[in-house]
Amino acid sequence: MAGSGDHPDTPAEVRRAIQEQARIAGLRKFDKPSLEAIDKRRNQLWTAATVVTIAVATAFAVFAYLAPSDTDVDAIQQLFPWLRAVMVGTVAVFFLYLVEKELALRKLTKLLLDERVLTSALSNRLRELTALTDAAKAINSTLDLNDVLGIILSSSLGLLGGTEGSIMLVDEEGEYLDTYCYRGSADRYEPEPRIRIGQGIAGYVAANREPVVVTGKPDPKKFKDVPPKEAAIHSAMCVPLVSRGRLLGVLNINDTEGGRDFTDYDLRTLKLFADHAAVAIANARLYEKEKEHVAKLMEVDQLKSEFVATVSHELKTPLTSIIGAAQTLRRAKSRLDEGAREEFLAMIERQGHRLLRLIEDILFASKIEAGESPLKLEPVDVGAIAEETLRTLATRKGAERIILDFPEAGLQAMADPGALQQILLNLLDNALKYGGDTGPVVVTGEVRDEEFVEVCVSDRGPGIAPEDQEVIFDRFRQVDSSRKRRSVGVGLGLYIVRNLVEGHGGRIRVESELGQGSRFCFTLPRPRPEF
Amino acid sequence: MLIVDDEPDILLMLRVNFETEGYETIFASDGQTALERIAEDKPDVVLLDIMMPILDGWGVLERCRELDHRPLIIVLSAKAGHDDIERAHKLGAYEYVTKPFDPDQLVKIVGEALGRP
Repeated sequence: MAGSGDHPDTPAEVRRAIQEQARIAGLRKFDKPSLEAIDKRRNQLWTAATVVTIAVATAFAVFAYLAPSDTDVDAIQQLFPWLRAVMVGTVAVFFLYLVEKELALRKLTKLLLDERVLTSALSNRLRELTALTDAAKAINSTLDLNDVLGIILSSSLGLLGGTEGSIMLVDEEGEYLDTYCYRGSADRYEPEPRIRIGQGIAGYVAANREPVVVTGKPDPKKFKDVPPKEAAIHSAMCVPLVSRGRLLGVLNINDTEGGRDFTDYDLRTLKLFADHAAVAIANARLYEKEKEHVAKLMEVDQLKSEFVATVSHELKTPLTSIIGAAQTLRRAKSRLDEGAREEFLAMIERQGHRLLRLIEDILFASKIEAGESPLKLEPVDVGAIAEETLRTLATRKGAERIILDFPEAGLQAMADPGALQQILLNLLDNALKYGGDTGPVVVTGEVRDEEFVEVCVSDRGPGIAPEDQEVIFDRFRQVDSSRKRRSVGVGLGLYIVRNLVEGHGGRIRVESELGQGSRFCFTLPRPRPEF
Repeated sequence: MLIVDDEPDILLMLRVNFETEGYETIFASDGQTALERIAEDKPDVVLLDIMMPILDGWGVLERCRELDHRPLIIVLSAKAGHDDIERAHKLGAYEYVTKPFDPDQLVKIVGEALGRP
């Protein structure tokens, strides 16, 4: 708004000055002040000048040479100075008129040229801002990282007129820049896939978070270790992509054909754009992380549902015996003899305990999963616990096949006695149920190394297929048992065993071949020597 | 009748219940043995568990479809899903009973199935 009459600043002021000069120059009102109109007007004036001059000269000539007789000469002689004065006056006035018009026309020309420059600059700016806004809209229209990167590149190239460009993103450790996306007008464009942060132009920008524009050879004092591809670029711009204080990567826009020398102004525009771009990239990345998170949550949810289904199934089995036995006792009491009644009461008790164990196992397992350890470790003799477990199993069918093989001197380990019993009980239960009907079930224990002892339960059953071996501890689903091979239980037993073993700090594994039986081995920590 | 379950206590409980009703009972703890007993002893009724080692209840049902003298099969299972019930019926099961069950009810069902009073 500070423009004076001679140096108008705003388009409106320029316009007004133009109108003013046009008026002075005498351009017709409905002629748009333009350079053509100025020329026209100038021609008009010169034509008028010529005509007037000729007219005056002619009048003078006529007057001078068509002088009448002597009688009029005196009168004419008297009039002559006046005539001369009038003529000179007319010419002078007309001359001044011409000069005024000419000056106005020149000023007008200058103003029109100024206006043109201003308009051109403004329309350029407008074009840029529009392109910037469009691009910003485009990059925010998608959350797919690859799409976002592609749009950023095409928009930047369109905005700044480069021939090729690439986006590099920082890797996880923050040491390297990897090329994620590139665009080029030449087919052979292949940017460096990975550079170290600090290396070359892009590395410098990433390390210092400073936008740079380099035309010609990169200054070796500033840029270290420039890859040959980078050095060969005619004019290169590189800006950092920073979002919320974090460096995401860099954006490169290059001209390789020599058609453009990028300026600081171009760099500023690119930086403006890069700020938008960084936000979009950060959003896309966040979105991807969210999707991963959701998928994981859904997986956990799925596992939970499976778990619940398996658990309720497991619990219903002992309940069937308990409820069935109780109902039988009530209704068929008269028809049962003493022995049978005793048997049923024992069954209720037995299965009740089993149910209790199952519930405790599940609680134990979930506590361990949650990171709490309800186990109380103390030095125990594994052999003794194994014998105890065997006593619990005494009434089971096939229990007589179980053989214990422990060192004479005993085998010491750090364990929670109740938990260790659970582990052995579960493994033996499995062996009896699924490890075939014949052959011994052997429980061995021995020192493995300084830190651990190893206990194994083996059977001579049908064995476990390799693909099942991988999942039997992880999943708690029934493995499809429609083929003639060992099924791996109703899922919970081994899962619980693994949890208990790992809760002690040990590991469990299975060795098995189809037709060759199975061997479950787990380790327990040895007691530290007392000082 | 043939009672098939991998849980010995359930076998015992069912055995006592049915023998006191006058049924002659034989047993199996896995699907493979069950098929053998079906072939050899030709029971009229089979009480069939699903979750068993070596060959499960589904396997037994499938194989039984091909037999000439098919026994009446009643499925006993802790699973109570509609899909399972449908599947059992599609494979020719007479009835699907969920665990835990009332042994008395089971006796009644078997009785009706065989047309006994």
